[in-house]
Amino acid sequence: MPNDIWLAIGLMAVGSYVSRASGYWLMGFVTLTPRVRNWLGAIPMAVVGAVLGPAALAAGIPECVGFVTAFVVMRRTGNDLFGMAAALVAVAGLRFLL
Amino acid sequence: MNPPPFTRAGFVAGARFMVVPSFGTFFYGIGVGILAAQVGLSLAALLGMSAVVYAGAAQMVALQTWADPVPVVAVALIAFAVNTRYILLGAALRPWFSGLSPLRAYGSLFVMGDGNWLLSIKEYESGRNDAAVLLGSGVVNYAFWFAGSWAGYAVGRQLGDPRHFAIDFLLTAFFVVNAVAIWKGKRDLAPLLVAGIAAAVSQKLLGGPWFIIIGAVAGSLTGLVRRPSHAE
Repeated sequence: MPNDIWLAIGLMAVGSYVSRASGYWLMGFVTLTPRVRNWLGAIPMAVVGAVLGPAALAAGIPECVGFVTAFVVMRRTGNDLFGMAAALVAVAGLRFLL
Repeated sequence: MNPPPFTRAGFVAGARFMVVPSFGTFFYGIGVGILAAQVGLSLAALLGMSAVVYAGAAQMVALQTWADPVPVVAVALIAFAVNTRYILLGAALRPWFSGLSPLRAYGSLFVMGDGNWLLSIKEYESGRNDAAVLLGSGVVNYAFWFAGSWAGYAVGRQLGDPRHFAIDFLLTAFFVVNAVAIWKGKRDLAPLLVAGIAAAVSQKLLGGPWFIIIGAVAGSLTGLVRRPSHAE
């Protein structure tokens, strides 16, 4: 029975690595035309949208302020660490106060 | 085609960039460790899982379906299915990594996660194309993931509520600041909005972790539809 656990974990590892490697591998067979590059270039912002969309919907007041804080501080300073720190301070502070 | 640089300096830079965001990863790992303890997994199995799977959402979903005897095929399929978004992430690396040796490319892909991928893409789009950034950032993130899993399993409940310090918001904030960094203009609006709406809708309708891949594919297709122009 313990063998089943290690088999399961091993297969999970294979499944995870296949998902990580297959996209890169498959694109090796595709000619990188301008249209294909446009598609690939849209992926980062799409991933951001897919991750943040539901998070934004689920956000309470502290988290909404956190979003805005991270955005504004990053825009103003260009410093990602400041942006993250400011957002955490805002969220933690508002959670404490509200 | 000439391969991109892949240097120790790039590795170190990637590693340093990832230290702060990895606290969020550590927190996430704690959650997985706590869940593993709850379902009765041994510490060795949990550490082994975090070491070879290294995928938070997949581990979470798999552990939620854990039973005795373990449903081997189900959890293996879960690990692949939940991680399907990585197919897109890997594809997006092709223009950059083209020409890199298979060892460097596929080795780096082992430690690719959402966070260090986005960070690396940001570097690439800012003109810094040292491909070792992905590996360096991945190794740091990996270490924090492993440590967090262990900490969660061993002492999770006693670590206090991380929500007090908003650590649970760290990865979200990380995504926001990196989104600002990679923003190139109006053409980024379509993928962002389409992905956000598609993800939100699919999360409401389907639940589970599918919303990321659905949203990301939907958003990326806006890039396909856009006519390539010389102004790009």
